Amino acid sequence: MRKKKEKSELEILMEQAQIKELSNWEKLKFGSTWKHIFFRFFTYLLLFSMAFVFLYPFLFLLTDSLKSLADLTDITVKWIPVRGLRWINYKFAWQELNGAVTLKNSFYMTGVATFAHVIMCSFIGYGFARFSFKGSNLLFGILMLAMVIPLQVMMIPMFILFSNAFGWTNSMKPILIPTIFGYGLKGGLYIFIFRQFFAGLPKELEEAAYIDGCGFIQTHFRIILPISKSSILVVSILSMVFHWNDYTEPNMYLTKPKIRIFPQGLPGLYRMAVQFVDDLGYVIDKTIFNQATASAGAVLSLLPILVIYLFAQKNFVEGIQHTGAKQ
Amino acid sequence: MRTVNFKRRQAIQGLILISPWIIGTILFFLYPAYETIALSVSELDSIKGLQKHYLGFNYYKNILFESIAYMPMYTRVFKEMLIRTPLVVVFSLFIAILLNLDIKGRGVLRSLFVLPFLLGSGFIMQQIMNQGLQDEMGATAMGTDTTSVGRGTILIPREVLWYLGPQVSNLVTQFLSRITEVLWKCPVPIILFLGGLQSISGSLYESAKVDGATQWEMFWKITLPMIGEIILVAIIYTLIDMFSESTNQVMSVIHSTAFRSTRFEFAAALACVYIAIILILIAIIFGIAALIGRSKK
Repeated sequence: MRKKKEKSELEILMEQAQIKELSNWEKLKFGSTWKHIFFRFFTYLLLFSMAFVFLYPFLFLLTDSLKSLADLTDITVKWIPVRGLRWINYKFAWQELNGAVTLKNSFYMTGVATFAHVIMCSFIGYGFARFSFKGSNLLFGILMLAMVIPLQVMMIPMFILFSNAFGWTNSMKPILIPTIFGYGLKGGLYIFIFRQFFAGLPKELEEAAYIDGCGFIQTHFRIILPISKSSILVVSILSMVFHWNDYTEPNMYLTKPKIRIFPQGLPGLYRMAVQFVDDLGYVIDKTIFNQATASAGAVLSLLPILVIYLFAQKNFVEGIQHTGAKQ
Repeated sequence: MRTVNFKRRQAIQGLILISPWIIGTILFFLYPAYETIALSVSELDSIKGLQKHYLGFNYYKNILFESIAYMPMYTRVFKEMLIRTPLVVVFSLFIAILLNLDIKGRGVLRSLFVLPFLLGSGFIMQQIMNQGLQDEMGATAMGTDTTSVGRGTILIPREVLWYLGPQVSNLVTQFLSRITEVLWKCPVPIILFLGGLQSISGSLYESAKVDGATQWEMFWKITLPMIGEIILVAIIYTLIDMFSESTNQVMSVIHSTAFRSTRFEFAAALACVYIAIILILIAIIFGIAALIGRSKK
């Protein structure tokens, strides 16, 4: 009897010790409750205030675009336009930016360039990832150089090459053709992203495809591309955003009004907002061309990108994380 | 014999895949690079077909030793870059760690932090920043010179600034504008770091906890070494981003020298000096990274 009781006491002791250890473990894991709550609160505060720094200018742009001239000059009006929402600002901005033509051009340029980047850079990236041959390291080094050096500084020979040797004046060819060859706006970066992604894929897939008699180009389009949706999404969003927001190249090559793209007109709109007399000496009507109209133009040019991003947002963030993990 | 065949076939296939890029490299990278270097040491006779004759290193001499305009510009831009890059990397690592915590609303916060990327480094972003500043400071009411303050958009109500007086508020705004600028560069590094943090396996932290390590120790002993490579990638990305953005002063000077005052040769020399400094800087960073990597092993 006694022995049995002792044993059970020992057992109890052991259980108690286990519980104690467990609670210690819990404490280690989460800290005490108050500390925990405080920590959480602090984290939220910090994150939301930093997110606000990012969000603030967008909100500001939006309210500014709806103000009238009187609201703009009234310093007591900050967020909410008290003299009514002036939607007509958007109409003025649209007309001044020649929206009907330039927006179509913008979509055309961005669409074609993004499509070419996705197809060709995946193609080239696959070559870099899978096939090793003599000198492939050297070529990869050149790729890194092309990625690191800002190609905009070499624009002078490029400009002369395009306009004199190829005769591509006043067309979108100087912007679109290089994307087919894996260059263009940050082309090297996309090849690099695809290469990193493909290098992490298991080789068995392709081997199985080869055994079944699939050629390597066919393998790429039939086997590899369908399973690399995340990196395709990342590259297409990056390429799209960079092309949409770019000014440098369009300002050089797209000078005729017929082929100008939408955001190109924005600097002019902002200039009109601060000037009182335009280049030809005419007085600018301040009730039409002011900060509000300029902001409306900016909102209009952001809107397409924002809408597309909202649709793709979840997959985009996850997709970049996958590619990031492999770098 | 078979393996040799296989290897050769692989090489041919690889070359076929890469061939568009090789053509592109010759046309859009090597040729312009060669022409830029050639242009920087010669004088143009006619712009058509870039006919030129050799002149020597006059432009370089002018940039590096004679002119007082250009070297200070380079040092200013690079100093700014060297201050900002570490700040961007540290900030984004910090934010990424916070975003990686197991909290509610994480998804919303994550997509909020990617938002500035959509503006690119383009014209709208600049405008937004300037405009926010003007309103915040209540520039007209204060009578302060807004151009000397720099850009900034945060968060202090102008009523508070009125009480502080111009000097203090200038200081505060400068500090805040620096932080804002840094924060706006963060999105892509944040995403890179998030990916890296998620690839660290949780069992490492658990075993460290069992051994009684604190959060602080775990950060230095586990987190940092595990994402070392990503830190390197983030640094390089941030640097490239700042080098090539069109608001960069060197870039705009090169652009205006070439296309406004049509001194193509001089602009080419400016660009060559710029690229040389960039390459040296990146080589130094890779060197340091290699040294750190070796000392670990």
